[in-house]
Amino acid sequence: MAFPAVFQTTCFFMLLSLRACQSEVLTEHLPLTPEALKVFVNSTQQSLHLQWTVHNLPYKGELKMVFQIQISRTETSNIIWKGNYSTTVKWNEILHWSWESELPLECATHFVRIKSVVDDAKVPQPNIWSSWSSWQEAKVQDSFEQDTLFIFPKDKLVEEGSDVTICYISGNIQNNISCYLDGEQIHGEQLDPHVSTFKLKNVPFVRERGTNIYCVDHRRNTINGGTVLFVSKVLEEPKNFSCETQDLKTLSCTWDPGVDTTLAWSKQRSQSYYTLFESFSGKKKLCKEKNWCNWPISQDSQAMYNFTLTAENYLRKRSVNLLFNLTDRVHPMSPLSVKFENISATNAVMTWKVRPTGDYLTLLCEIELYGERKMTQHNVSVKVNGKYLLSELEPDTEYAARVRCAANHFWKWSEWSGQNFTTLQAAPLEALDVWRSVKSGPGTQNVTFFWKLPPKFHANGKILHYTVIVENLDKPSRLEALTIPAPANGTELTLDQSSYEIRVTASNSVGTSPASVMVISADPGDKEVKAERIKGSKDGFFISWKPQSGDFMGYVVDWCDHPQDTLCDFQWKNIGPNTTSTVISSDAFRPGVRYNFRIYGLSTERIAYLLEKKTGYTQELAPLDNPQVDTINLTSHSFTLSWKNYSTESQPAFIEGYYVYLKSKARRCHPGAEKEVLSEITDTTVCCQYKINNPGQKTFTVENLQPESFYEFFVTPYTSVGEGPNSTFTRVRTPDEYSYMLIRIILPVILCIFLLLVACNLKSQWVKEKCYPDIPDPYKSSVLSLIKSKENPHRTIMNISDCIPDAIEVVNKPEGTKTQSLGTRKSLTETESTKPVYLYLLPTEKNYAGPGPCICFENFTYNQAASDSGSCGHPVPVPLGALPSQLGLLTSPENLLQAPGKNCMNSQGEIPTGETTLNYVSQLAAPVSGDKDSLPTNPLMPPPCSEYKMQMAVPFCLVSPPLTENSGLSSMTLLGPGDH
Amino acid sequence: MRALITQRTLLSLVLGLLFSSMMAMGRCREDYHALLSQLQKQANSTQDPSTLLDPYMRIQGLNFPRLREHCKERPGAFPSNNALRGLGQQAFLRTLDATLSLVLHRLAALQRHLPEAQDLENLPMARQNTQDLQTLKMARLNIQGLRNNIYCMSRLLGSSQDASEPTQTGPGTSLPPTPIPDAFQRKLEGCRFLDGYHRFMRSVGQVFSDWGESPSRSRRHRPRRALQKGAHRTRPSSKGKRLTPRGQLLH
Repeated sequence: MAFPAVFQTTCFFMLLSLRACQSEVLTEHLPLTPEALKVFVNSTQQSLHLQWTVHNLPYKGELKMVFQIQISRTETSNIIWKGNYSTTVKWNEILHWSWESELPLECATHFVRIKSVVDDAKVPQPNIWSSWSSWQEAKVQDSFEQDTLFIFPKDKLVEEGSDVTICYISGNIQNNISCYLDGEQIHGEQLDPHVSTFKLKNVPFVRERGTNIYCVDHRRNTINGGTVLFVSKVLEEPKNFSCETQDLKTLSCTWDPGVDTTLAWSKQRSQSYYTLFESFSGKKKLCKEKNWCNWPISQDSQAMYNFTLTAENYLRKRSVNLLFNLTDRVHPMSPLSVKFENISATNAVMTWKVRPTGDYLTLLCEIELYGERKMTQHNVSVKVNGKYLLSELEPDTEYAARVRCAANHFWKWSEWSGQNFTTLQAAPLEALDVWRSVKSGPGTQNVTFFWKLPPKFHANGKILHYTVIVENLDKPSRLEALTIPAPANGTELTLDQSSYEIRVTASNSVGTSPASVMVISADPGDKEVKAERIKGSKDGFFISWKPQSGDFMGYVVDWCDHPQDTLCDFQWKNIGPNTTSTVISSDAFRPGVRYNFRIYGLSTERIAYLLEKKTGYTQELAPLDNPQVDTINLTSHSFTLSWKNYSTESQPAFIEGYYVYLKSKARRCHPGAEKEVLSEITDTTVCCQYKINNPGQKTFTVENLQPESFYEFFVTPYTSVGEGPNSTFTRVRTPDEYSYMLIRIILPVILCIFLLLVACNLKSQWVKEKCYPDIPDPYKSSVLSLIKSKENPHRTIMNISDCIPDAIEVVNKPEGTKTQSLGTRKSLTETESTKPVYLYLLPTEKNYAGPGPCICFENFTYNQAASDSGSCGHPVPVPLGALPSQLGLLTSPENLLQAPGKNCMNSQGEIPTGETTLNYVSQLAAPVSGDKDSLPTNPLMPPPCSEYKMQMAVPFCLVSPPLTENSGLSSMTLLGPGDH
Repeated sequence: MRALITQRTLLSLVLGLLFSSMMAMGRCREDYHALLSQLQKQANSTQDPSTLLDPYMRIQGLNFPRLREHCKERPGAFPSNNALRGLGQQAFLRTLDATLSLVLHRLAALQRHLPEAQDLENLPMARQNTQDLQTLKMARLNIQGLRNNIYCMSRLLGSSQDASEPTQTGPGTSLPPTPIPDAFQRKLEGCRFLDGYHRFMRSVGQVFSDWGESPSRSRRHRPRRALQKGAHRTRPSSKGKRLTPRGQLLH
């Protein structure tokens, strides 16, 4: 029992002693103080590099330690940074640590010290900090010369947006020094009398050659120092990093480098560069380009690749990874030798080759086939040569086919390779779409037969010609065939009143299309159909019609796209039998144009029956012009306006009526008119508006007008969208009532007078006989015959030459005896008094001694204009021999003194009495025989002063103008026998 | 103003290319006066700061009044006006050629650090920068053309052996760039150098003008062809020493 107890006690003390020994050792070596502290300055990186060792590590292994570091600036007491650095310290290891300073190290002296503590689980607590090492000074420059100034850091490279501290050291006490960033002064903080600092926040990129910072000594006016701050854009992580191969020999890797850092030219040493590292092979490659790099594929069947792309510059490093299987990144090259074989109207064989890849991978190829209307896709697997049958093609069609390929494990399609080909022609597939327009004439039908060019896919080739076959259905006759070369789209046929069947086919170089048939009936049975108005829109016209009870195989709507043109561009549309409406639309439809539609039903016999008519506008517009108006039936109280030439059919809208605007001074509107204010450009016009609701009424009578007044009017049509444009008023003046009356009275009067004159002229002989008959010829008198036969056969008519002229005695009376003078007669009297020799005594045989004065009598039977050239104007000697014959006319005293009536001559009362008295002594009353014989001895000689003039005989009743003073001076002409 | 500059630069480019091509074909104009007139025109065009200094300052960000006033030629960087006028024709041409050679090197170094015009499309002031870069390229071509004419004039004056061979047109074949720690000082030096260059070319233009105006001097330096036709030989100039620019060419 004693041995175990002793053993246990011994062991216990041994353990105690061992532990005590251990504790003693650790206590003896701790704390571990950093030793041999050295400080190095890296001006470029603006950092302090510390290096120290820890001696007397108790174990030759590792020990975790914490080092506390203090950094002071300018003086040791000015601690600007302190921090801990934890690391595992190995025995005899030299420890390193760096600290980057904001302030350029050249501008201030820095001091560093360090202490440590063991922070290892192997060492029992508590840990005790060592004592501080001595301060180590970090100084870049010792002293500065007088009048020198240095700015730090030199040629600093920073990233855009970072903060930078600039400082300068001056050899002098700072005085009159200003610093500038490019052109702008910057303000800083003075560290000591020789040092100032400037903190630049968030520096921008200005130019690739850097931002200039410089200081000017104003005292000496010199630039003492400067530096350039190179601002780089931030290096971005490469984007879209991708690698692929086309031939399994080379991998081509590409990426997007992002924004250029601009360092490539500002700081050569810090140019960003890109490296590719492949982890499986451990190979690395420096890329020459900044966005792509080629990587040779090794021939050791490496399937997997793990790339790391690293972008790096002086300031930053960025990298991206990419792991892939090589066969998953095959991007085949575009196929070769695309060809077409065995091309027919509907089929073609396409062949191509693929560029060889390493292991002859199976490729998936895609074919795209572009026809005229559609695109189709086909897929096919290919090893080396590709082949594909393109079927269901359309004849005579150009196709574009292209092919591209990709690896079975799809990565990317290759580029396209393509070729065009054209299929062969075939016979036209379908019958033509035909329609007709029939115009019936007397005994004939003019049929215009239209067909639409077959669509490309129905023509199956270029149409060469059309064949039209006309067959008379009523009487057997020879078929008439017309061949019409393409590209005609219709023909005109003149047929008689029989029924005809017309068949049309289209032919190309291969064959003929099925025939299109249309029957022209002898009795079309088209009833008079009134056009119904419809309203269109910009999308076209919706047209519907009543369902027909007959057996129709369909309907046809036809119209003209350009109804106003001579070639109206005839169109039609086929509609199925179960449809009774359709929408007609056309790019040619224009607003303001009236379109007329006819709806036909097409019977099973292919006869067209007109069912309905529609007319309308896609958009109605206001009329652009007003009718030309004529004024008719103008009276003093009314006038009528007429515009019969105005066509309502060619207007840009349905004419619903007319407005007649009437303007007058009265400004009062009659019943039936409304007062309207028309706005014109310059002013407003108030007028009366008459509304005509009937578009067919093209005349209008304005009544209840004032005579001799001015009225203005104009006529404009109106539609559902408005009325015509304002136009100028036309002026009209109503005549006066009297002139109207005069016209009604004077015209008949003038007509009557004219008729009377005509009658008088025709009956002039009768008038003459009645009014101024011829002087009877005594030799022809019936009395003479009676005398001869019964009483005295020796009796004869007295010859005028046998008579002795009577003497006329003129007795002058004094002027004072004048009783009165009346009117024009007075002048005559005066004339006579002033010309007392105007009347001359007829000479007798005794006293006649040659030429002497003659005597003139006024014969009131005649009206002769006064003539100064007459014999009465001046005394003309009358030969003696002329007197008997002249005076012979005076045998009837009535002819001289009583013939003038009251209305036709000067009244006898007008004859001046008392001035001159003419005493007539009849030769019958006191004949002188002696004279009787002497007369024949004097041959009748024409008196020199007397002359006969042709005179117009005027009935008494027509001598209306009174005698004038001049006429009073007219000479009295003596008419000789037989001269009237 | 811009149009004027463009016209001028285009004219100088055309002239430069013309004479470069002539030299490439191994031909020199043998008309002294025509050649002198051409040299005069080239000197006049190159003395304009808009052909080199202004675009340089814009590219380097020095186009601010406070910096511009400090962008002055360092004394002694280029031969002075008086020194040039004191040179004989041959020495003058040699000095001119050597100076232009250094300028070309400097421009070549500068262009190596500049981006291509197409790389500037997305950057601010891209249009101005592109134009300035093209102007700098043209300035190099102009200097090449001027040097070719200097060579021809030297040959015409009868000292082809002394005259340096004309530089062939091509990308920078000059010295590799020497890294200078202080980019700002380098910019300023470049600016001052180019200011001196324009002043120098102004003096060169005046010298050429003197040649054209002074009959005695022209007679003294009559073309070789004329001399070979019986005229007395030109007396070697006592001032025929060759001056070189002392300005440090910084890259």
